[in-house]
Amino acid sequence: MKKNIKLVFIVCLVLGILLAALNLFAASQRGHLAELEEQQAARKKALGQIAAADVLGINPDDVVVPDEVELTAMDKFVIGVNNASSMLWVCAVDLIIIGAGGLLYTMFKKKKRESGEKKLSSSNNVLGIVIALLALCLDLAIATPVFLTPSNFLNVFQQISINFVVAVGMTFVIISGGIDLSVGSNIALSGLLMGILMKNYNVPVFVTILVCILFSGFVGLVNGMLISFLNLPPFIATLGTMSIVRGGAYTVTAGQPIYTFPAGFTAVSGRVAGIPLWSTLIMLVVIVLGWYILRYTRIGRFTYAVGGNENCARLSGINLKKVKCFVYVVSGLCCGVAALLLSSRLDSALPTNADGQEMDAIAAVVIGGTSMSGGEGSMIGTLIGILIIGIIANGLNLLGVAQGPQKMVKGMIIVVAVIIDVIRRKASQSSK
Amino acid sequence: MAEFLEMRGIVKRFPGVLALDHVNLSVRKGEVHALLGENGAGKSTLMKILSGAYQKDEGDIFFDGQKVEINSAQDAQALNISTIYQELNLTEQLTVAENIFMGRQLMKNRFMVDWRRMYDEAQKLLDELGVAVNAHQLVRDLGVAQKQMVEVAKALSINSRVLILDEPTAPLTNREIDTLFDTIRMLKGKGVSMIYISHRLEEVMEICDRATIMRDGTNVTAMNVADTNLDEIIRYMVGRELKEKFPKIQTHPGQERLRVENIHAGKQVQGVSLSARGGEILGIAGLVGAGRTETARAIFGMDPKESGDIYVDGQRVEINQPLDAIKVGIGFVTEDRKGEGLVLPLPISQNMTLATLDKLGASLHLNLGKEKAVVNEYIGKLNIKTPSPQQLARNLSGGNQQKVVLAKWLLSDSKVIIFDEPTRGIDVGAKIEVYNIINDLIRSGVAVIMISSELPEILGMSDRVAVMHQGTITGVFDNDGTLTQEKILYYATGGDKHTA
Repeated sequence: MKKNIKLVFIVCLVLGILLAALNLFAASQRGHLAELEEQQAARKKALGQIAAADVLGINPDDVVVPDEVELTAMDKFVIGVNNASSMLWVCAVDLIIIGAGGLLYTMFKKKKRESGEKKLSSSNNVLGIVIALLALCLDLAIATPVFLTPSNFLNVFQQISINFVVAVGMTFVIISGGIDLSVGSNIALSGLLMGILMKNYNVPVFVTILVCILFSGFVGLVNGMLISFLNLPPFIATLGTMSIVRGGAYTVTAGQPIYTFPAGFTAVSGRVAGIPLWSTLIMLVVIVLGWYILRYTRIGRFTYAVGGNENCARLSGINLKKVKCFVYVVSGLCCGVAALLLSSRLDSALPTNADGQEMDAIAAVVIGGTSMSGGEGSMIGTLIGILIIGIIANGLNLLGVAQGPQKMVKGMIIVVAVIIDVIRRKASQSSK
Repeated sequence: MAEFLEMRGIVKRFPGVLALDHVNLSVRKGEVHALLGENGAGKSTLMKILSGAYQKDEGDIFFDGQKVEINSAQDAQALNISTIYQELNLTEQLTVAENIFMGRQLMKNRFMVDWRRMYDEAQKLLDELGVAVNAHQLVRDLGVAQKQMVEVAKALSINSRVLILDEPTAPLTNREIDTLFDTIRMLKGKGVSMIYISHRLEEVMEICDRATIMRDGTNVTAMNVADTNLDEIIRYMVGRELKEKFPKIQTHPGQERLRVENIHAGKQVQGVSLSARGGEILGIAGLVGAGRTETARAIFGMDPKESGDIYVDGQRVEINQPLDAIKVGIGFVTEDRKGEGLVLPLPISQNMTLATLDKLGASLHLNLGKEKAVVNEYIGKLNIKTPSPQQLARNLSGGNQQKVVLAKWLLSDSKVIIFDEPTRGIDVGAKIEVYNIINDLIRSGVAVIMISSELPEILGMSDRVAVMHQGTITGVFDNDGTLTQEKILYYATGGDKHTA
């Protein structure tokens, strides 16, 4: 089994190198191909001259017709390779990364085992997804020249901003062993409330933002209370609130969208010197705060403990109800912030906003190595998960892939991420 | 006598580790063969090879004179080798008979199960074993001992010729152990060979014929149990002389630190009163189901109590949840290490400080540097074997896990610590270390309450012994040398109620 895996890596590496060599070879043949093309063009031109002379009734003695160019099989092959060059390069690079990375990893692991050290925490898990992220960027950079442009970066940044904020909250919830399905509808309702407060009641922008974020936090609190005091399973409780809140969103405006917000509000997503300054700052604050709370505060520790073993947490004097309410409130507050970013960017609020947002957030968290069974995970992992999802979506857009297949790809990535998680868990258990 | 099962020169390598280094084991027909060794000595690995869960890298296995290859659980089954694990392998929602014939139901024809014959056969097996269990009962309604008997019946029903018993007595009370031993003797009479793995050496002396002792993946020796004694076995197992099994120290008990008056909590705790002084170990003995653990859980606030008062250092305290108990200085080392004692996916460091995070920094911010220092100090103090404080708790051995749980409560500076089965499932060496940790506690004036099902441990370590029966305390005795196991058992089975 172990040997087979190594063999697979070696085959990957060799194939990758072969592909790269093939590409280089094809590129080196471009001069030759150009020559052939020139010859062909010359012949075409000569034939054209003869035809013209024929029509005019002139004797075309002085036109020398070059021989027809014989395209050998090799030439045809090289032309084919050149046409698919970018795709082949992507494959080659990926194979080399998988092969070399895999080989290095197995060697590294063996060394560690020999020195008597066992696998430590989730650090090498994060390393794995960082490599995946870098490989992804490299692929896209090869596949489309647009990818590496600054304007595309801003684009990606804007696309991920909502999921970014929501996934931070979701990380708390999933580490605590729960799940929050209500995030999407929470964003929609909160966004509509912002619109109503500002447009119908002329509430100042700042007050509106504050009230609506608190409202989103309150929705989270309701989730937390249902789960901790009434002992509802998180999936069911948040499924219920998801529907209730989405229904609420349709009801408050009778299904109508709200357009054009005050300038002070849209300025949140506006650009200062070409950079979306405020939204960047908000995202930065959210993730740094999330990271800090998880790592450096008591409640962060408790979140892990409750997710890892509820009984032990209780026995260690942790108030389970408080911790559970806390994580859902955090998730709710993040939704409020996401609603602010979304509504200010679109300059509108729709009852259908952020539909399916929960899937993206959960996917980012899971890809980031956080375990769905709770007790494991990190904010850094989530950050990378968000980037992977965002960049894949952006890449597929750039490559002109339609929405349908995009969704399929996203789904497959989630499944693969969970499979890796399961395998890793099994491996760490059997290594004991 | 001819060797019935022989494993010769077995080698098993795990990446980077030589788990078994040319190990030999030979078992005769109809003998009970003890396989002894500390945790990590390689006993389980060897048995997993025999039961087909692992495959050996080198070596031969001979079965009844024939060389055999065991590459899967099916191979082992075909040779009629079966294992009864410590964690029983029964399906709780099914009946006893269904469990016994799991996967090989008796059929009327291709499609129909012959229920009547199955239940009859199962009942016959159970009666043969002398177990008072109805084949129609659901397994979840049975006690642990009865469940184990169902496993034995299952092993019998497939005509096992070699039976591996892995810590079979760990969950049993003394009386149930006697029943199990009777069964083992009966199987022996039928010519079944048994490999018996246990940490309880007294039992080995009682029931086993020969013993193979392993240490660090190698054979140390094999011997006739009749020709040896406990001390010698222990010496072989740990490779050094252990001065005493129970390093009891003399202290001078001080003030009363915990007093519990007339606690009622559910069926299992019916008016328990007890008191523990600083600097003493109060042992609580009793049979399984006597309400010892339940009493501890009620005191600690894990389970709700209906009535009763608790005093710590003379002050009446209100305890409704574990947090309250921790605040007034009570600690509780649970018997269920994995289920309640540890957060397995978290590292050692975070497990240790879980109950005492408020000591790591006054405000919101946790001082991770301070945590690291404290954790490293306790890893050294308690001799926890780990490459790093960041090692996940799930990757530790039982003894080291227990030490992490102990460290958690040592860190809390408790006035009273309740230990529930503190040495269950850990090896001899680690046991002594745990006793020494408890000794350090009573030296510093902590009141220790120790619940244990092992009477030698109760007698060896306690200053006073309280005996429980059916949710009440039937007697409290000074352990002054006159207290005997018999006397404890007498009170554990009802005491003066016998005569009344």
